[in-house]
Formats: sequence, structure tokens, C-alpha cells
Amino acid sequence: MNKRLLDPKILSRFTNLYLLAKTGVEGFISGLHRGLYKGFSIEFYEHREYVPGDDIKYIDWKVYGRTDRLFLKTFKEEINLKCYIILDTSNSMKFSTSSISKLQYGIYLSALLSYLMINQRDAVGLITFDKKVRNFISASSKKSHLYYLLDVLEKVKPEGETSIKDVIENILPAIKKRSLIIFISDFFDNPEETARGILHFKHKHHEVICFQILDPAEVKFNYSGICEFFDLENGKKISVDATSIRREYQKLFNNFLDYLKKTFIKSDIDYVFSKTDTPFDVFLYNYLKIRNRTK
Amino acid sequence: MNFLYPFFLWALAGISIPVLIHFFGQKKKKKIPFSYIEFLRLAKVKSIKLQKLKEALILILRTLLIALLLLVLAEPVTKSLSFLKGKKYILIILDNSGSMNAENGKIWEKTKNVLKKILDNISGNDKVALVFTDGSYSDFISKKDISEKISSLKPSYTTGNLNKSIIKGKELLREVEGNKIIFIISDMQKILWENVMEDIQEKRIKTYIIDTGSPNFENIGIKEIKKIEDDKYLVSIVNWSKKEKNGQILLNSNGKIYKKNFYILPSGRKNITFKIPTDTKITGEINIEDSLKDDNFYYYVEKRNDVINILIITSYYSETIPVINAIKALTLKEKINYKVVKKEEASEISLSGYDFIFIINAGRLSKNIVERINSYLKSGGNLILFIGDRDIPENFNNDWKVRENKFLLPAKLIEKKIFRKPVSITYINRENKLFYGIEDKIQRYLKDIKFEKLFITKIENGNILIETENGYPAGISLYSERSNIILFPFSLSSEWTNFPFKSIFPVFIDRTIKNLRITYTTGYFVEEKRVIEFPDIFTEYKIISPDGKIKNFKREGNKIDFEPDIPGIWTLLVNSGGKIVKKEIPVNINYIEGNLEKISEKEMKNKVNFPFNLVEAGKIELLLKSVFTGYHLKFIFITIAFILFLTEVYITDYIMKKND
Repeated sequence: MNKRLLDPKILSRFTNLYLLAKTGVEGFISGLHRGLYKGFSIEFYEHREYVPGDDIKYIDWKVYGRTDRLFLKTFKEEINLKCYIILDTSNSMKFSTSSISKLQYGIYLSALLSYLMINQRDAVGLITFDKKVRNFISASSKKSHLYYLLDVLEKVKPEGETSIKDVIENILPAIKKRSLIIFISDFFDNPEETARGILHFKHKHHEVICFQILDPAEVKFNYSGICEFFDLENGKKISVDATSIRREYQKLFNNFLDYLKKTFIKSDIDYVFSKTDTPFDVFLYNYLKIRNRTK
Repeated sequence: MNFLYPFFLWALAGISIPVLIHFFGQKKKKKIPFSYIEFLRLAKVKSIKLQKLKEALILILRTLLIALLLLVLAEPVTKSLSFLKGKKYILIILDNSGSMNAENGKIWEKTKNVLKKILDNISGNDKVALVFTDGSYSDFISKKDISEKISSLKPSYTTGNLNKSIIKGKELLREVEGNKIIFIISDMQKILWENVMEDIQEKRIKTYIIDTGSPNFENIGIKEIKKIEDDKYLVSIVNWSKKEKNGQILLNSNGKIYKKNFYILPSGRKNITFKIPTDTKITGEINIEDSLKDDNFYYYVEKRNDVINILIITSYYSETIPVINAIKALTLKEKINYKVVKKEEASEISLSGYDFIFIINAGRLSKNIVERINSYLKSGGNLILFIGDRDIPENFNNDWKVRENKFLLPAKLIEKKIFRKPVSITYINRENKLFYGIEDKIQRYLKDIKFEKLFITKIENGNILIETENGYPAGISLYSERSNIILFPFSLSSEWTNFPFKSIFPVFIDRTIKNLRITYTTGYFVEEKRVIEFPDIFTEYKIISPDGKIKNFKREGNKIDFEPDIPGIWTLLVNSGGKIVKKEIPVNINYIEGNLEKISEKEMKNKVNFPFNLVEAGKIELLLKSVFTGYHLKFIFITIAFILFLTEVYITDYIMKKND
């Protein structure tokens, strides 16, 4: 695994999103072969040789008894399940104090995941939104679909305010089949409404993963002195002594994160947040570690 | 609190700087895009009170900091402006007693330095009065006039009287209006301070006592030299210090030096006997290194004549026969001249030239002769009285009194104050039944014992007591410092009082004259005024100081106000009717002045009736600053400013850390 290639600073130099996704995924994903989705089907498809990292419960012990080699059983329907990547493209996502913005980070992450999924023969769809749904691309597992997704992702522009609840209300009827929903957002919206909205997916028996992307400055709030902040989404202004409110801000912010985390975990929703200065491999590794532990 | 440089206070407007920064500095805001300001809004709402408090606190601290620094520049002091700018009258009571000359003049130099420093702190408008403990003083004059006098100031030889100086100082202060301050500069000698009874009264007048003395001293002085026998002299020395000492005493008699070593205990007294040929002038000196030199010297003079002149005053010549026979039978080397006069003729006689005056049962004496006899006694004469049956107390009227109904004395001699020492006498009272038949007792006594022993050894406290072994008196001897009065009962008709007819009487007279023919003079001290009386009118006089200078003193009639300024032997020459009478007076330092023990502050508080601040000479500059400009507060202000600065840094740092 070449960590340097997965550093957001390095990845940001890739102009071709496909190449980026390919490099990123192939660079580190072997060994995480099981991928993100455990599958629902019981129809046997084929045997595959076990590699470390595979769930041992799919090992075919009978074959092992005969051959002394470990093979996994794979199932036919596994590759036909759908995954929707829902990417927040509101103006707050363009905030950046490091090499890339949250939106770029989200785009790269979406590209990586799309590549990964399609390579695993999973169907991947993409939804971008702010307060409205801006793109809705149905899930498909075709290789050509990946190019389409990446093309859409390349063209994504930040705009508008965030309204997760409204967006979810709009897209929820459109995803009828039980799917893997991957939310990529900063979740800067009313946390209760956001959580309620996302929980709707859970109620519809979708599996939900929430990736919260944050800028380091949003977490640390390392501003000082008297500052006038203006909101990237609604343009509202506020003057504060950044030094004196820092502690209170951090407290509120952590409360916000804690709330989301507790609410999602309680509802069996995977939740992980990453800062835009965190390398993707570290981010994904951390997530998969959590996922393996909990699933 | 006031300010030496108040114009700096204008700069206090500078405290508006942090205020302006506080209110207008906030306008320079950084404009920053942010993803989501809702948390900022909530954080602001929650931290607004703390923030306001912090800002207010920092604003106050910074304002105070600037204000304090500006106040420091303005030199804050504790004194009022009316005091600082008003006219001040400074009374300086300067101890110039003999002890101030201790340590080879170092104490005096220190004292003068303190005086100079006080004057340095006084402005040209202020007035200064100097009052010395020897009684001299100068009225309130300018600083410049006082400064010119400092170099010529010298300590006196007196013990000084601080109480009188305070009284005088108060008089001077009463005559002026303004800010008044009293400084007392002294070596804190205990004997000087012990008699201070006077109150400053005006409590608002601050009194500062400046101690220029030395905490440790070693001093030995000669108390006196006196003759105890014809060729024996007793030197009494005192060790005032708390250490034992070895030393040497030198007596200079007629140019010849007699030496004796001595050892004296701490705080001890010692009598050292010298057997040397009789001389008229002796100078004693202790050869030792000690704190005060002046009291290491003592001057002694005795009066000896080749001719002894005796004047006998009587009412009846017949009554003088036993006395004249006794005089004729004298066995002295000196030539004896005697003259018998009736009391009526006595007023015509010059008494000055007589070594002895006998008054034999003379009865009432004229006022004139009584006064002259008094003067004669005060100038050091010998009076031998034979109190007979005519000399009943009433005969002496106002001039001669019966003291406490027990004995007769010239009235003026009863007044103790004319003597330096209290007079102790033994008396005869014919009315007392104890003395009935005393003659027999005297006879028996004189037969049984050696007369010399009786007469010579009974010298106590300067008085020669003539008394019998069992305490019955045979006569009275009154010895003052300069004269002797001897009284005998005398009545030729009475068996027990006809003493002059007894066979022992010539021996008695012989011993009396032998012992009283030499008179020595004591009790004259430097810079202490004493009236010298002469019994006769004199036309001119001359007084020569020990260093050979002719000095003038105030004269009134036959009295001279003698006030010697240096110790030593002074010579008085008086021309009385063409006859030159020479009188040599030894002037010494009162040995008490050698006691350099200092009074403690605690003792002072018990003795002194006024509030005071006692300060050592070494801290005079600090004191003067506090007196004349008050305490400087700038260092306190700087300290507070520094603490405020640290507080501000701490608060800012604390808040920063808290927000990190």
C-alpha cells in the first residue's frame, strides 16, 4: 500500500478521476476484498480462493477437507445488489483550509467507492444534493456506468444550502429495493432532522453508511482575534472574538458530532467522519475496521 | 497623597488609549468565510458574558496599568501640598553635652552631618532654630545663616539639660505660625534623657529624635581627687562600662609625675591612694584608651599660706583668753597672726585676708557683718563659732535660725540649694537633756582616746563630724564645698559648756586649725554658671583661664558670675583695697557626664511625655524624605503596576489556553 498516493494532496493532482479511483483502490484495497457489502443472496455462484481478510464464515470446509486448501463460497445475487452514494454538494462543502475542499474529498471518496463497487460487480448509483436533488443516477454495475458516474462527479459544482431532510424525503420513494446507502456530507444541518431523515432509510431496510467529511478548521477552530465570519451557504455574517469562543464552539461542535454518532450507532448505521487532511487509506481502513467489528 | 511633578497627571488622559482600543479597535475585523456559522452563533451567545467580563477586566487592568505608570512619573508622595509648599519652622534641639565629644569627636561629626542633612532638605523659605542642651540657642533664622554656623559648632563640657532646651524650644515655636517640626539630635545618653519631663503639648507637631550615639562604649573617668591626710590624696575613679579595665593613673604634682596602675571591675568604682608631698595644684589623668577623653582629667587645688590669719570677734575680750591661749600654743609651721575685735568693730574689718574667723559668744551681730560673714563663707572661709549664753537663737533673728528647733545656723546656709551637696551635720542642743553634763562626757572621752583619730577620720560626705564615740557630739562642723563652720557650746559660767577652759581645748584648737588651714575647692564645673562672692568690695579683678587667656565675666558688686568654658585651673585676682587676693579655682567636668549608657526606646517611652519617632542617624535620609516630602509611593505603584501586568498576562494566557 502506497500511502503517498492516497494522501489527499497527492490525489488532488490527478486530473482523471478514473485513474484516481483505479490507483486509489488498487493501491490498497486488496485484502479488503470483502468490500463494503456483505450480500443477501443464498444462491451459490462459485468458489474463490481464500485470501487473508475474508470472512471465515464463508469458507467451504468440505472443500478444505478434500483439498486442504481454503475456498470461499460466493453467491450469485451478491453482485446484483444496489448501492447509492449520496453526495452533499451544498456550498458548505466547498469550505477549505487545507489542500482540498470537503466536496473534492467527497468526490474522490465517491469515485473510489464507485470503482470499488463496480469492480465487485455491485450496482452503484449517485445522488448529489444541496437543498434539492441535483443529480440522480440510478444504480448499475456496468463498467461503462462507472465512467458515467465519474464524469458526473467531475462536473459537480458546490451550490445552495443544505436540507438533508427535504432531500431524503424526495429520494426515499425512488429507492425501492433494499440498497446500501452511502451518505457523504458534512451534515451541517439541523442534526435532529438530519438524523430523522437518515433513519428513514433504515426504516425502509436499507443499509446506511454515513461519511462525515469535515475540514480541520471546522474541528479545531484555530482562529483568533475578532473575526467576522460569513456563512458560505446563506451569506449570514457574525462577528465574534474567535479566541474567546473557541472553547465553547468546540464544545458545541463535539456535541453535534457526538449526537450524530450516538444516534446513528444506536440505529445500526455506520458512521465515520474524516478530516480532509486525513489520507483515504487511513480513513477507509478505520472505517472497515469498525465495520468488521460491528457486522 | 500628592505629587512632586503634578504636570504628569495631564498625561492621565492617556488612559483613554486602552478604552479607545477597546471600543474602536474591534472594527478591524478579519472577514472569514465559514461553512456553518450556527455553532458560532450559539458559542457567542454562551460565551458573551464571560467574554464581556474578560474584556472589561482586561480594559480595567490596562487602564489601571497606564494610570499607575503615569502616577509613577508624577512622583506620588504622602505629604499634603500645604505642607510641601507652606513655610516650615524647624526646631532643632541639639545635644551638645560633653558626651557628644566621645570617640575622638566622631559622634559630634556624625551629629553635624545629621544637622547638615536636615538643612539640605529645607527650602530657602523655611526657618530653623537651634537650641542646645547647654542652654544656648539661636532664634528662627534662615537655613543659610544656620549652615554657616555648623562648622564652628563644638560640644560643650556640660551634662546638659534637655528639659530646659525643650521648654526654650517651645517658647520659640509659640512665636511662629506655620508648619512646625521638631528634631532632637542626641547621642541618647541616659542621664540626659532621664530628666525630660516637659511635654511638647501640641500633638500635631511631629517630633523626630535622631540617635547619633554609639551602641557600645568603654569609658572610665575620675570622679574626684581629695586630700585625706597631709601627704595623702585619694583618687576616685568610675568605670561606666560593662567591661573590666586595667589602666594607669598619673598625678602631676609640681611637675613631678606619680603613677599607679589600677584594675577596675565592670560598672565599678575604685579609690586609689597616692602618698605624695603636699602641693597646691595637682592634675590627675587616667592613661587609658576609652570612649570619652575629657573626663580622664581632674584638677585639684588647695590653698596653703605661709601665714595663717585669724580674726576673733567677741563682745568681751575676757572671753577670748582661752582661745587666744590656744592659738598661741599652736604647733604649726606657719606663722600665726591673729586679731581680736569687738563685734562693733567687725564691720570695719576686711574679712578677705583671714583664714579663720572665731566668733566667741558675740551675741547679736549686725546685719552687715552677718552678710559679710556669709560672703566670706561662700568664698571658702572657716568660721569657728562658740555659741554661748548670749547667743540664744532669738538673738540671731532673721539672719540666724534654729533649724527644726535643733541647731543654730546662719539662715542663708540653711538653704540647701546654695550648696552643691546636702549638708549633714551633728548638732548640739543645750535644751536637750542628752547634753546635760556633756562636758564631763567630753572630758572623759578626750582623756580616753586619741584626739587625732576622733577628729581626722570622721570625714564623711565632705563634712567633718565632731562627735563622741557613743554618738554624743562635742561640737558641730559644717563643711560646705568651699567653707567650714564649726560650732561649740560656750559658756564660761556653765560647767558643762566651759569647754575652752578645759586642758584639752588647746589641743582641740591646734587640730582644728591644722586640718582646716588647707582648703581645697571643688564643685566648679565647665560651662556652669556659679556666683563667686567676695566679702569685701573690690576695685578691679582679673580672671585668667587655664590656657592663659584673660576672660571677662559679668560682675555685680562683689559678685562675679563665673562661667568657665574649659576645664583646668582658673585664676581669679582681686584688688581689694590695694591688697591682691588670689584665688585658684579648679574647674572640672562633672564625672557623671562620663556615663555614656544609652537610654532604650522602651525607657524613652516611659520617660518622655510626648510622641516621638526615634531614628538612627544612619537612616536619616529616609526619615528626612518621609518628613519633608512624605513617603515616595512610586515603588509601591510600580509594584502594583507589575502585578497588574502579570495579572493581565495571566488572564489573557488563561483565556487563550482555555479556548485552545
